[in-house]
Amino acid sequence: MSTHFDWMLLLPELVLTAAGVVILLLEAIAPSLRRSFTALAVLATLGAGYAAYYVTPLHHVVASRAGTFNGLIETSPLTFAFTLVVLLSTVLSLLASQSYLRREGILAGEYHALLLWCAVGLLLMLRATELLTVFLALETLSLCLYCLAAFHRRISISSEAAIKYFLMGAFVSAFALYGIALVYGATGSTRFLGIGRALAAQPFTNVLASLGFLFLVAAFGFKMSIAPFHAWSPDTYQGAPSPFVAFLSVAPKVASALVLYRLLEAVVQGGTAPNSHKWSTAVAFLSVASMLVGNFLALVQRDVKRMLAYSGVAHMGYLLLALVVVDRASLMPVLVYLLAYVLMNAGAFTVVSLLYSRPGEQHLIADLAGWGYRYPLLGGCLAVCMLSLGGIPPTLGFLGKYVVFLNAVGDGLVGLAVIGVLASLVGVFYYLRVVYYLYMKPETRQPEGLLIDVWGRTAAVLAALGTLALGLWPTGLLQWLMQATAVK
Amino acid sequence: MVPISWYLMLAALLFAIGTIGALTRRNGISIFLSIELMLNAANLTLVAYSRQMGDRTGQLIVFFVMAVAAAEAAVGLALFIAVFRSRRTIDVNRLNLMRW
Repeated sequence: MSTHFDWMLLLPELVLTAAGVVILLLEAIAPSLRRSFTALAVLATLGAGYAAYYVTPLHHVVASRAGTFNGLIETSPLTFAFTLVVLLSTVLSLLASQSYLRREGILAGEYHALLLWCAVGLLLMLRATELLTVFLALETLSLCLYCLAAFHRRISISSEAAIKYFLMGAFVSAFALYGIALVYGATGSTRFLGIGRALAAQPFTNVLASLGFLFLVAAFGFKMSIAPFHAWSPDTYQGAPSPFVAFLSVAPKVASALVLYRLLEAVVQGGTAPNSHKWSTAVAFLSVASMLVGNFLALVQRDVKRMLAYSGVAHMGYLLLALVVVDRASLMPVLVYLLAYVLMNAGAFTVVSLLYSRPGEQHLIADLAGWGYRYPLLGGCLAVCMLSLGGIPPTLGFLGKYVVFLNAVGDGLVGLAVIGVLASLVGVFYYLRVVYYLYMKPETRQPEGLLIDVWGRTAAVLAALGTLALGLWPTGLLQWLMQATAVK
Repeated sequence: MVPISWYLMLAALLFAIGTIGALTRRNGISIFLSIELMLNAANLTLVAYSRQMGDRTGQLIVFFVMAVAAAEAAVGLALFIAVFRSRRTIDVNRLNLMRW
C-alpha cells in the first residue's frame, strides 16, 4: 500500500494547514500585507473545497484497498458533503472578520491561521473512523477555538468568555478521553466498525461500554451545545469576537453531528442491540430538553448574541429529532438542517458584528430599532436570516425543519414531531421581535464607529441569498444530498 | 501479579477526585490541575486495558494524550495570564461580567 496515495487523499487538510503556516510567516516577515490575509485565507478555503472535490471520486480506489491510512480516514460523497458545509461556514466567517479586526485594531495573521486550523480539525473529525483520530481532531479544533475566543484579549469580557469555554471544554475533553478508554476496554477496539462488531457479538448489555458511550455523547453534545451541556454557549458567544462566533456557533456543530451519528450507529446497530431503545429514549430526552430550554430562555434575552446562543440550543434540539432513530436515512435531514443553520446563523452573526461597534458591551436587540431603513441591505439580510431561523417559508430554514419533522413522523415519532412544531412556534416570536425592532420602531441610536466594508456585505448577502435561493429551488440540493447519503 | 481491577478502581477513584476538584475549586489553576488528574486517570485506564489485552493501541493513545495535555496546558496558562492582566484575579467566582 502506498502512503503517497494516502497523503493525496488528505489534500484538503494539507492545503488549509499550509495556508495557515504561510499566513503566519507573512505576518512575521511582511506585516504590511495584513489587509490581504482575508483574501488569501478565503482563497485557501476555496482551494481546499476544490481539493475535496478532486479527491472524493478516488474513494472507489480506496474501497479496493485497506482504506486511507489503514482505514482511519474516510473519503466518501458523505464526508464531501459535510466538508463543503464546514468550508462554507469558514468562508462566511473569514469574510465577516476583516471589518471587525480592522475596526478593533487587532488585524493580525494569527486570526486567519487559527481559523484555518480550526477547519483542519473539523475536516479530520468528520472524516475520522476511529476514536483516537476523532479525539486528536477534536483537540486540534478546541485549542484553536479557545485562542480565537480570547483574540480580543485587551477586553476583559473576551478573555473571560475564553476562560469559561476553556475550563468547561477541557473538563469535557477529559470525559471524552475516559469514555474512549472505557469503550476500548469493553470492546478491544477504537474503530467504529470494530466497536460495533464487538458489541454485536456480546449477548448482554455491556455496562462499561454504555458508560463510555454516554461520556462520549456528552462530550459531543457539549460541542453542539445541546441542553443540558449548553451552559458555556451564551457567555462565550457574548464575549467572543462576533465574526468568530459566526464560525463557533455553526462549524463545530456540523462535524460533531456526524461524529454523534457514527457513535450512535455503532452502539444501536440498526436497532438490533438489546439496549437500542434506551439510546433512542436518551436522544429523545436530549432533543426535547434542548428545544424547551433553548426556546424559553431565548424568549427572555435582550442581548441579540445571547438570544442566538439559546436559539442555537433549540436548533440542535430539532436536529437531534433526526437521530432518535439512527439509520442511513437520518443523514439527509441532518445535512439539510445543518446547511440551513450554517447559512442563517452565520449570516445573522455577520450582520451583528457589522452593526455593533462596542464589543465589550451588550448587544441589545432594542439598539437595532429603525436601522432596517438606515442600512437597507444589512437590515434585509438580517431579516431574511431571522425569518429563516424562525422556519418561515420559503426559506431554507423552513425546508430544514420540514425534512427533519417529516423524517421523525416517518420513524413513527409523531409525538416528538408535534413537540418540535410547537417549540418552533415559540421560536417564531423572538425571531420576529428582531424584525419588528428593525422596521417598526423609531430609531434610538446613532451609528458610531461602525466599519462596514465590502467583505462583510458579501458575507451577509451570500448567507441571505443562499437561504432564500436554496429555499425556493431546493430540488438540486436535495437530489445531491440524497445521492451523497445513499448507502455505499 | 496485581489483577487489572485494582488499576481500574484506582483510575476511577482518581477520575472521581479530579471531577470533584474541577467542580468545587475556585482558583482557575486548581481547576486545571484537577482536569489534568482526570486525563491521567483515563491514561491509567488505557494502559491497564492495553496490558490486559496484549494490544498496544491503548499505550499508543497515551502518548498522544500526553502531547495533547501539554498543548492544552500551554493554551490554558496563556489564557490565565491574559485574564489576570486585565482583572488581577483568576478566581472563577469573580469572573462574572456576563449575566443571563
